[in-house]
Amino acid sequence: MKSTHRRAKPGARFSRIDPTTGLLVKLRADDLGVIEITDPSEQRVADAFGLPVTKTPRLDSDEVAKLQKGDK
Amino acid sequence: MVAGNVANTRFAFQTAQGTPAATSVYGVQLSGGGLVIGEGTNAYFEETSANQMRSDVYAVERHGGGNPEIYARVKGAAGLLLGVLGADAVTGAGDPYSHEITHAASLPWITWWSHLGGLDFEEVSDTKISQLVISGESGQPLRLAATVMGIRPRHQTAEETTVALETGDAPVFYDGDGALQLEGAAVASIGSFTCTINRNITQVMGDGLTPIDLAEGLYTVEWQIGKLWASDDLRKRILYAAADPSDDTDVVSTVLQLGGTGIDFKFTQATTPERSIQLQSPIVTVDPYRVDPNTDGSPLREDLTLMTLDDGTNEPLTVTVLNDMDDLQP
Repeated sequence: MKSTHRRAKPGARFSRIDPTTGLLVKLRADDLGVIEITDPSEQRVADAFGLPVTKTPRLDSDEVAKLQKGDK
Repeated sequence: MVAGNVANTRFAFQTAQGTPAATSVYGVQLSGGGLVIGEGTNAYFEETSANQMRSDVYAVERHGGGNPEIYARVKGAAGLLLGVLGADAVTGAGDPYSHEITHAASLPWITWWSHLGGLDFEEVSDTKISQLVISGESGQPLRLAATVMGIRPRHQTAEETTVALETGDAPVFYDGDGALQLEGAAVASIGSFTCTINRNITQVMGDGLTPIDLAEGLYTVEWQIGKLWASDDLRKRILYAAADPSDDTDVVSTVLQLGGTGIDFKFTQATTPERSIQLQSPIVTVDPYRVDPNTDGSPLREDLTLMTLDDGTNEPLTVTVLNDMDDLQP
C-alpha cells in the first residue's frame, strides 16, 4: 500500500483496536500534524477517527524512478 | 485470620488477544465490588446411583471476571473509560495530557492482576469491560463501577507490583461546581448523577474449557440525574411540548430531546496542572417522570432518566480526562 498523509493536531496521538485484525493500532502526528499511513490497518483506524486525508498518496520509489526515466 | 480488606487490583492494556500484558500500568484500590479473578460453573451428570444420588460431576466452563468499584482518580478512571469506550485521542506536549475518549467498535483487551488478603494472587488476561457506571452525589467523590468479563485466569505466586497504587487526584462532586450543564446552561441544583455505559459483551464459547472470544453487543449510555425541583418547565416540555403551554393543551407523542449541548458535566479536581473528567453527550432524550409531594415537608426533587442516542453525526459520548499520562496504552 502506498503511504498517505493524514492531518491532525501537531503531536496528537491516536489509539484504537483495528476490528479487522483485532490488534491495537497507534498513530502519531509529527510537529506539523502529519501522520504517515503505511498499511491498511492504520488506514482503517485513521478513518475511524475521522482524520482527513491532506495529500494524495505518495509515489513509491519505483514510480518516481519511472517518471524520472520518462517511462509511462 | 485473613483480613478481608487487604485487596487491590492492577491492570494494563494488551496489544492483542492471547498476549497478556507483562506488567501493570494502573494500580487501584477497591472501594467496593469484587476483584477480577477466576470463576466457573460445574454441573452434575444426570445419573442416579444405587443410593439415589448424583455420583459424578464435571466442569461446564471456566472464565475470569469481576466487578471492581473504585474512586474516579484520574489515571485509573481514564484507563477504565478507555476500556469501555475503546478509542483515545491524546493531545498535549507535557503534563497535563488531554485524553479524548470515544467509542470504538472493538474494545481493547486488558490484563488484570488481583490480590486478596495476602493469600490469593491471580492474573486474568483477555478481558474486556462490559459495563462502566460513573456516579457522583453531593459531598462524595466520583465513583466508578466496572463489570469485567474475561477469558483466561491464571494463578500467580505473588502480587504484581510494577505500578504503585494510585492515590490523590480524586474528583469530588463539588469539583463540578458551576460546570454541570444541561442544554448549555449550568444547573446548580443537580445533586446526583449516574452515567451507565454498557457494551453488552457476551462470552463466546468454542471447543475449550474457557471462552474463545468476547463479543461487543449493543452500545448504550443511560443517565440518571437527580436535582431540586425548582421549575416544572421540563415536565411540561416533555408532556405538552412547551415550557409554558396554553390552557387545555393535550399531551404530545414527540419525545423531548435536550437542546443545546445536551449533557456536559465537567469535574476539575486541580487546575495546575489540570486534573479533570468531562462527560459530554449532545443527543439525549428525556423520559417522562413524576414529581410527587413529600408529606414530610422536605424539598421536592425530580429524578430524570435520559438516554443518549446516535444521530449519525455527533459523537454520542465523549469523555475527556486530563492527567499526567501521555499514553494510556503504553
